[in-house]
Amino acid sequence: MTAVLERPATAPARPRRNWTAVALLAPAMTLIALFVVLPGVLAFAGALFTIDLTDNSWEWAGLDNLATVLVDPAVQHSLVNTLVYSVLTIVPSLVAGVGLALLAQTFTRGRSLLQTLLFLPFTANLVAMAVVFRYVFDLRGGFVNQLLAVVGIAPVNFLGDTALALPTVAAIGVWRAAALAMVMFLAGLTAIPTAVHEACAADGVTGWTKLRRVTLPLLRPVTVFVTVLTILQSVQVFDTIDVLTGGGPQGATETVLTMTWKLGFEYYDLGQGAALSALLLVVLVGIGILRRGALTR
Amino acid sequence: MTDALLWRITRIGLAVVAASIALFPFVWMVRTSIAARDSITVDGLSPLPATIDLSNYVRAWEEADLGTAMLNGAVVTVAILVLQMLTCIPAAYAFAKLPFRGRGPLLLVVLACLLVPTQATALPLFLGVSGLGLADTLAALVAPFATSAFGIFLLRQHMVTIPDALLDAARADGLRTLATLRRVVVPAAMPAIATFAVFSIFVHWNDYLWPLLVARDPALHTPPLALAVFQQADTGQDFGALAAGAVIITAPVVALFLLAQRRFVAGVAGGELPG
Amino acid sequence: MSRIGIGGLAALAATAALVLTACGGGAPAAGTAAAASVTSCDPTGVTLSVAYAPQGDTAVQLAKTQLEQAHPGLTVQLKQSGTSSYDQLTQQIVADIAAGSRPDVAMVGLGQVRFWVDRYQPQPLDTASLKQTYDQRFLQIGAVDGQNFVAPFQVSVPVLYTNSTLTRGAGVTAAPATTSELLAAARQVKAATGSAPVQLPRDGIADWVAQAMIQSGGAAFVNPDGSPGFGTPEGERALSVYETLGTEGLQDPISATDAVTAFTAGRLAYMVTSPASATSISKAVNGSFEWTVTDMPVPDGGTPSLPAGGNGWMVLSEDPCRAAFANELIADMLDPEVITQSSKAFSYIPVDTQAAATLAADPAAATQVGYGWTYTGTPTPWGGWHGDSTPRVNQFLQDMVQRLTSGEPVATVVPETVRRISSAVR
Repeated sequence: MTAVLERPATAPARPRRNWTAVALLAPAMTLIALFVVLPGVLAFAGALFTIDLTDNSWEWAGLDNLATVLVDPAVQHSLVNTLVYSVLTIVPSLVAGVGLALLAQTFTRGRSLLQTLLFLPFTANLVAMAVVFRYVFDLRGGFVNQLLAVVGIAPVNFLGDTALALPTVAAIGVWRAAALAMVMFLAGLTAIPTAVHEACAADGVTGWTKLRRVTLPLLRPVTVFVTVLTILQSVQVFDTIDVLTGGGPQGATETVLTMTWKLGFEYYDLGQGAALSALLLVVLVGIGILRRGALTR
Repeated sequence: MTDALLWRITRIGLAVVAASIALFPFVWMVRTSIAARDSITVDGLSPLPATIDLSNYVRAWEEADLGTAMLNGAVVTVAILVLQMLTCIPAAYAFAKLPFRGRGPLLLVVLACLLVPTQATALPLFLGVSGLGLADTLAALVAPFATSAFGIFLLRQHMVTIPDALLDAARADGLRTLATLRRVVVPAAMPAIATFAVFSIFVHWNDYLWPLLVARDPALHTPPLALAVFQQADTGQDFGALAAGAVIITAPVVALFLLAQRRFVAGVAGGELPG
Repeated sequence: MSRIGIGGLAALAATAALVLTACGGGAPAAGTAAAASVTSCDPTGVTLSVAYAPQGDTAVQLAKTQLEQAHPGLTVQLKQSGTSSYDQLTQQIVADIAAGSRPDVAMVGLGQVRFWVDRYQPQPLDTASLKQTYDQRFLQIGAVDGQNFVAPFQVSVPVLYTNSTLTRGAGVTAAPATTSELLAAARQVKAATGSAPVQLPRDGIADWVAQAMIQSGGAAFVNPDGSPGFGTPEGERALSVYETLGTEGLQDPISATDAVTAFTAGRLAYMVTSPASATSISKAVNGSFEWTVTDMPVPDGGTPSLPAGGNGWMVLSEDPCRAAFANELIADMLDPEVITQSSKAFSYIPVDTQAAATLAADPAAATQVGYGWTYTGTPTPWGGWHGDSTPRVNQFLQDMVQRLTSGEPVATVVPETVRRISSAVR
């Protein structure tokens, strides 16, 4: 029992030849260097230049792009929105995810069906879903407003109101993110050896005690992972907003990444777009460094 | 006794509520897909449209050329999945279980890659892919995703929990590294591998931005690109066909997920401690 | 540990940047020479590439066959975009050019003509090579500073869609010709139905309709020096219709897509959008109520001055001979038969007199989809902001329309918008 609960040591003392590790890592690392690190470095280096796409010329701009971006009210708006969106989505997605996974685990009959249903939101084709959600949240005749009308509440302009659009988009974000988190947690739960459950049963450890003392600690590596993923999904939210509101109304749902895309790919100001995404990266790396113990343990 | 009954009712209730919320938009997607054009937007809370019309499916299949698109999507998704498995599993294992110099910093590089949004690297990547002459080829749809920092990190987090005793036993049996990977590590990490597979399949099956940039030739269109036919900016949208198309392209991958669930369960046996 | 990693990244970044500046600095600006005469050009081995959105496919396919037959040895390479949005099409062509593959002929949204001319030096259009029957009144919407660059292909102007079953039920029988008639009719309909009866686009093509209002009200949209021209009393008066719609609750703050949905569901009395939507709206309405397509109401005392929506063809070839072939390809794509077909499929305004005659004789000309077929006005160029400021300016215009239709006053919103645009185009 105790042997199972202890996290296994990661570095056994046995000396090993490095070339095994090198051989195992080489394909993945080469591809990462080629397709992520190199374009990433180029993209972020672009923050220091004024880039003219017509002739691909890069002109040194120093910190001008960053300065321009930081005083742009639209960008400031997007930074605040991203923060609000993250607050509205990260914790609810994680709690819902782990809750749903634990709930699904309690079922024996119909579990497979339940898991599939709960996972459906992640499978959605977003373009089609956007149409459905626009209908669901439509001001006149939308499903939610028809329901509200039944209980006598005046129609609410969920996606068109500058104050409500972000929370509405966040709710849809949680709908999707919780499904993914659930599947990740389920994988973690399934990986807990049956011996643990047997030992718990033998020791009479059940319910909340088992959850707090046994299950959640065993889920820790998965939790770290799902947390990182959920934070990233929230901070880097793009698809959902792109198809649902395009950042509107009046920038109410503009986030850092949709703004980055706009600056770079719609306004053709690649330098400014790069400056904003570099800023985002620096913030995330900063958080990562502060919490790196939890990540690499 | 009553406690057990109450708990049973509570969790069934919770499951029903959660499943309803998850399912609800899909019900409306299916509703739209079987509605006649003139009854799609008619008000009502009924999950069935006034007139049922399956011609949306015919239109979706023919006008969007979904047959070709699904074939392309399958080729691309499977190719990406296989490549990612071949590259991520060994790398994750090395990070999880093999001590080597520079492991910490290298893992941090992998983590840093997670922080780089694809929207930021899309243009340099496109210029690079075009420079290699790969624009408008299936290879361009696959190559950038041949490995996944996300996958390495996910698998590594699970492999860390594989008891060393299991690996030591394998070594004692005289297994070489690759054999250990195949016979011990992969079975033990199967829940994580299945999770990652599911994630990878859905992400790349539904990916829109990158294919839009590199797959211009209609013969290379992936399912989401094919569906864009029904979203004409200038001339109006065909909601019925769009929804029908979405049902057609979502169904096979969801069916796949149902099958993959067995792997989650199968994983338990592999993850168990010997003796 | 992590500091080493980041330091390494920084060093790599600096190196890459140096390499890039070294390579990119010397790239020559795209030069343009006038198109040569086709007869003096050898077609052997020439491959012309055409970048276009799906709505141009029929035309491109037909012209490819004709040109390849007329000039054996020449190949036309088709690069169809997966998107029908002109913004996304432009993004793709920009990315292609950055990657070194510049198309010879490109479809461009008519709102982006000036962007292309200012940034990418297209070849002037060889208007002499166009068909005799090409309707010359459309050429100026593809011109910049008097020089023709784009041959308009699928053209539209903003129009008013009316659910006449709804309006007649409220006692309104005449189609509103001015904005105050529209507002009066809207009040009447609202009194009868209780819901907001009007939708002017608040996103997507918001800038297009706002430009129509501004110009028709007698104000300049873009001044000759490139600055916004509607920060004047005329401009504010022209835009006040949005404010009134907002303050009186005559327009719900919803998206343009939702507006179409509301219209086809029979809930919306008046909607301004492109006549090109008539075909798909007709299918969705399917006779469940009566509806009409009429002229967009203009500000009181104004005269219609409507910007042309839709798309046209532009020559991007850098070589005179290729440019000559490209011009011939464009002429083939503007074939009367092709124009007739595309107008029938999407109810665009025909840019060819022969096609217009054919369409006018068609029984459907009297229906809603026929509005564009029999349109006799002369549209103005759309947009016209200098350099690459158009997308930014359009965002500001959209914000303006959204604020006005939410009830904010013209007196604060318009000057603020003019200020934002001025600093973006400077």
